[in-house]
Amino acid sequence: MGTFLCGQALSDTVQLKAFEVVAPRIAATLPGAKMMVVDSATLIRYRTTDLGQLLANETPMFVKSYGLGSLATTSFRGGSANHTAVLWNGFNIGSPMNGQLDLSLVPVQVANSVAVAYGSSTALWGSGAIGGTILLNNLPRSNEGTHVDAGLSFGSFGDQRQQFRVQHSSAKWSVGIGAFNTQAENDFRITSEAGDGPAQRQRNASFAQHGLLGDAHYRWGRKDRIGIHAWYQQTDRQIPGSTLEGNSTAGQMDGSLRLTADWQHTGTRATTNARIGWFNDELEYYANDVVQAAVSRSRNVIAELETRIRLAKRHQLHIGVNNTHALALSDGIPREQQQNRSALFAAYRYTSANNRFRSSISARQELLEGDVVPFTCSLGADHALRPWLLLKAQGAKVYRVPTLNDLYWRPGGNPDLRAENGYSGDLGAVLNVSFKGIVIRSEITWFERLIDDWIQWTPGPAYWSPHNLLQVWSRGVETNTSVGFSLGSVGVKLGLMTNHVVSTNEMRTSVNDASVDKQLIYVPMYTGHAKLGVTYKALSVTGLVRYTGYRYTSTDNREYLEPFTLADLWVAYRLPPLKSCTLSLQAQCNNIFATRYEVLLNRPMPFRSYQVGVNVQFHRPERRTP
Amino acid sequence: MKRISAFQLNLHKAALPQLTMALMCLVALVSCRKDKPEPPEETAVVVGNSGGLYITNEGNFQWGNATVSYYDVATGSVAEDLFQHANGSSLGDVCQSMTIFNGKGYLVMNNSNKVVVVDPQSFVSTATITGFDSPRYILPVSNAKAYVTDFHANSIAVVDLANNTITGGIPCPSATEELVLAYGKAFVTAPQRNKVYVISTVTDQITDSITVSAGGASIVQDMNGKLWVLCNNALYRIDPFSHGVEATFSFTAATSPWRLRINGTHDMLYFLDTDVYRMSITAAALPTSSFIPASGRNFYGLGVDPTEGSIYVADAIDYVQRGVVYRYGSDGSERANFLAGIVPGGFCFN
Repeated sequence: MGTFLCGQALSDTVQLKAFEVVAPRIAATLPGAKMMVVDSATLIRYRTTDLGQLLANETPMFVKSYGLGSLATTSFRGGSANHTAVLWNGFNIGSPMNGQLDLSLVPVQVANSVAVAYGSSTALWGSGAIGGTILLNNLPRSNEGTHVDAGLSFGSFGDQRQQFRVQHSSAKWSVGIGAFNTQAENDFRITSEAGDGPAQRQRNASFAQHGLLGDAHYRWGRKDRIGIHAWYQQTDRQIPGSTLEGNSTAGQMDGSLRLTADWQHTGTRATTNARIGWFNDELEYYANDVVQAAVSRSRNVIAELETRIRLAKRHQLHIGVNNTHALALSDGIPREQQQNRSALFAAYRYTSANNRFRSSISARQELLEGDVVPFTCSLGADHALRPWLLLKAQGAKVYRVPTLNDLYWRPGGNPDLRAENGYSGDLGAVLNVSFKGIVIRSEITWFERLIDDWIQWTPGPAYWSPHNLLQVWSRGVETNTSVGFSLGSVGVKLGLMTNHVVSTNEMRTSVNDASVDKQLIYVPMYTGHAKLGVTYKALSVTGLVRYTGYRYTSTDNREYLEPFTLADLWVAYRLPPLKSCTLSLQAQCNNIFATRYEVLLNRPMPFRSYQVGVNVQFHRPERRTP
Repeated sequence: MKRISAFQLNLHKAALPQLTMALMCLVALVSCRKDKPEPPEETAVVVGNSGGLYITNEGNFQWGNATVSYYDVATGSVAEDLFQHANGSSLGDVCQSMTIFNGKGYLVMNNSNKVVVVDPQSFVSTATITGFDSPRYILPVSNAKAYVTDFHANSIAVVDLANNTITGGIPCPSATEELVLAYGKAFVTAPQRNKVYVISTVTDQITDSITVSAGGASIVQDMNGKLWVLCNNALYRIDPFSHGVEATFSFTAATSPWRLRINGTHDMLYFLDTDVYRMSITAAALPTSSFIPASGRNFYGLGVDPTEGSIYVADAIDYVQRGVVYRYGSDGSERANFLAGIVPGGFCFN
């Protein structure tokens, strides 16, 4: 991304050069769907951080973070961590063991395109894509020559990051290699500066991560392309206790290797894509001594074939098959466990003659170990009622199959669990107005979702065990508004996001249960983000304020955590280019007002922190052959 | 967010009200809910009046939300989170048990790895004993000395009650749970090893061990001095002098009995096995029917008032909300019920 800062701040659209690359599925353009694409300037800003921080700051997702570098999972539209699917180049990279992905372990650098699809899309992506889907893609380039991008940064609490990426693309080839290294002590102060008593610091919270990324794409003829992606990383971190626990000495090592290959053939009537992914994860957790670590290994192999057929001018059909084979070996489960899922999916899309009305229908039938799981389907449409007003609607039947841990964990695993299933629907309106150079875009969405047989782990006299316990009704209203304009050479962009999410249990689990019609724990009912970005020549300043409302910590909603508001400031300056090199400097201050807050009960978060960085970009364009 | 770039500004004046109406309807469809919780009702309860009990609410492991409630039997009123009110700070992570001895309350904080000493009347903390691994129960064996069992340490801590420090440990091969003092000896359950260890309170050493079966975590002493240990598949009566098992009552069905308790006259045993069961110490067989049926409740804690005879049973519900405590008369009739804290697990009678 050579266009660092310039001209990006006002654009929402990812400015990636088209290479007739078809992103997996037609989700990105699915009628009725609500998508939020993280713009490339923002992506650059978070380049050295993890996905958890990016999503917490820039999207409506509530990220349940145990602290800097610690476990971070999402709650999206009132769902649990299992209800957000994370897809890397079209492959679900959630753990087959617990169905989740620790977002603190996903460096933003692994993708050059990050998008969030709101709402349920299990008909497209399969089990688990209920609250929303995070789409991470590493799209190939074409004819861009050689890009080198290297950066390093230093921050509070011993934070040091280095990243390097070189990318070369010609007409036929696109090759990229990247490396990253991050380490932090995270020994931030947990008592306020004004507080009495000696300053206490977070203990046992250090984090170290390094990894390698690679991708290569080759195109031949006018019709075929093959690509491979590799992502290796190793993370070693300590696990801090809560403020009321004794001294924690726990730690965890996560290693993963993810390899994918895909082939795309573009015919006159159909585009066919075949892809396979091999995902190997290893986790070692220890309470005291690394020698006594509990080890879990899992391997997911996903193979997929999909084809997109242009039936007629305005009719498109999309059909595909998917096979996902998961294998897990853990100290927590009795023996090697496997799970095989096969799915057949199809989608049909229609666009009206004047392009103002679009609709789609999609369906998916999955077989879990040969048994039929709930059939899912979705229906979506959007209609440009006025040139400046787009109305959207979508409805879906959704499901989530139990994970390997749910089924087989010893003790407690429950092999009799049923799949969670339910319905979801959205209605939305998008307003696009430009007036005297002021560009306004505003989207409002109302959603409803009902999930039955919601799987919940509850402790028993001897151990925890999952059951199909709850019925959860989630609904809410989201707004997302951006205003952009220029004042001479100053570009201004304002953004405002508000989310009202009510997610309540509707099923009494026992006679005294007071959780009926109460908000699920750790689902904030109100959240909001306000962002102001100002660019002037090579200088860029961004301020971000975000509010997180009450989160309940008991299912009767009597115990809670206080709301908090955080403000961050980010400043970047790009020095005048020297030949093909561009040097940019960045400085960042998080939690400017040193607000004391907890995302999770008794897990303190840092007060004010700083980060400074420098980034070098080199670009040599591809020599064009006539 | 794809900008629909083809669309130019074209504000139809007539469409604006329509749009506004549509958006307002949309918002109205989801009536906003208030998220700010109501402040808890403050009830004045005088701790320390005769006829009251403390309820230890374990809270959730690693959440640090353990509390202690106080129930005044005469007025039926409940005071919540005594420790926070008295000390302005949270009690800690998993309150496993409370024991009152010589006018002091000892709160065993399992995952805070400490024992907090409080004044039982004011609940003001007077000392904290630290250095445990995963403490479970405390047993004073003399005016100056107490034993604290531990789930992880493979050692029973010896505590000096005068200056509130750990002075030593009694090595033992596994986790230890409840314990009783009888005839100068401490009898300590070790449910993972199917044992009851016998410790001399003079030498602080294990002198003998009694083999029972798996899961024996609770132990009581009856009016005849005999010891009763409740395991997963059987109830044992043990002679405190010979250390021999005198009687074995085997459970036939697949059950999971636990929380063995005894009344104040030490002649009636109570335990949980989904329902509440009771059994006379002279009974020839295990009870065949329950004393208090759970009827869909999640019975988690059990206590018997040693003076007044009431039976207290705690329903932990889903373990993530305030539990309900029931008070039953010795005839099994319900006298009262009230809300305690999260995961009410233990009762300590004043």
